[in-house]
Amino acid sequence: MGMLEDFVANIKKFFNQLFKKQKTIRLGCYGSPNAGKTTLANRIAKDFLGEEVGSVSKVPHETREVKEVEHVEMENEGKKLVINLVDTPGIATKIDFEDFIKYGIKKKEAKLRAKEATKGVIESIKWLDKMDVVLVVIDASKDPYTQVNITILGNLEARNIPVIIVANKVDLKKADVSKVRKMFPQYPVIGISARTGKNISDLYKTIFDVVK
Amino acid sequence: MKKTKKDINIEFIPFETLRSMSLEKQVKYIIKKAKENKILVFDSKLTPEEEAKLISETMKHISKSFSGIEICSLYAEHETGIVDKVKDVFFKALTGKSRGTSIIGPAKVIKEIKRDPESISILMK
Repeated sequence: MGMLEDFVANIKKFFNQLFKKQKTIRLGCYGSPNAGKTTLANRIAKDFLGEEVGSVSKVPHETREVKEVEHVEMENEGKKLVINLVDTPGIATKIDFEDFIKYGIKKKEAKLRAKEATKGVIESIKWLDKMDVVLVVIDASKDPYTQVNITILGNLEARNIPVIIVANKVDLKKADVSKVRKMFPQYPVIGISARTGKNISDLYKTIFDVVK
Repeated sequence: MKKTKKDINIEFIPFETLRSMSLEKQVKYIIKKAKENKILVFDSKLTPEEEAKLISETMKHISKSFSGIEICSLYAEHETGIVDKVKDVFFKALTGKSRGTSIIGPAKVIKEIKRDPESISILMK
């Protein structure tokens, strides 16, 4: 680094300390399609901004573009944290337009949705490098030990990005948070319902614990 | 209605075959085989970075006739402890391979690969 860059960096550091500028954390929601990533992102954004991030649907791949909501000020037990909240398209290894037709979507639209979904998966993977902390959202009512979850966690571990596993949909009878904990004992696992808000304060506390 | 028989083609591939290629060529090789409806079994597991690259590239090849892949990387043991990780580092240093198995096949042929930490079940369509 040259002398000029050193000087500029030191000036920035001085002013940041002077005005106690908080570092913004990029917090990503990752997972398989229909795990509840957008529902969770909406819950966080609504709790701290009063507005939602995106639409949710029973049809897989509803979110097909990465969405970033900047400057969300989170508060928990008197502490503050500024985040950029990132909602990502679900990561999948296969996308068949005919699966969308089963949900009543017309063939032409289903093909377009499939095309957009493939681009969404590529974008999600690209954005992994930009994350500071990631919430890996898992549908706790289904088998948690899937290749997609393992691939996401492996990539985050390889990049030294802190992870919180969100065992979502605990409002469903079939949900089994203990199974998620058993499969991923090396990560903090928080059982929540992003839809109803159950245990969401536990998740916020954990986010603060991981970031600090 | 008359049922037609479907041939299942399984190829057991030494991991050295993959390791001799660049990442780009590895991924191209796997996708080409998957498009030929072949199920590949490797005597080592892909790294998370290789899996991510494979998924990204697969997405670029999705079409009416190719809906993607099923993939399953199985560890030799459920690697959660420090001892397992040390074992893996030594094994990799000695052989250049990661302990475990990887199975990759076309989604058109494989319905699902079910896994628990120590075994794999392949459900065919």
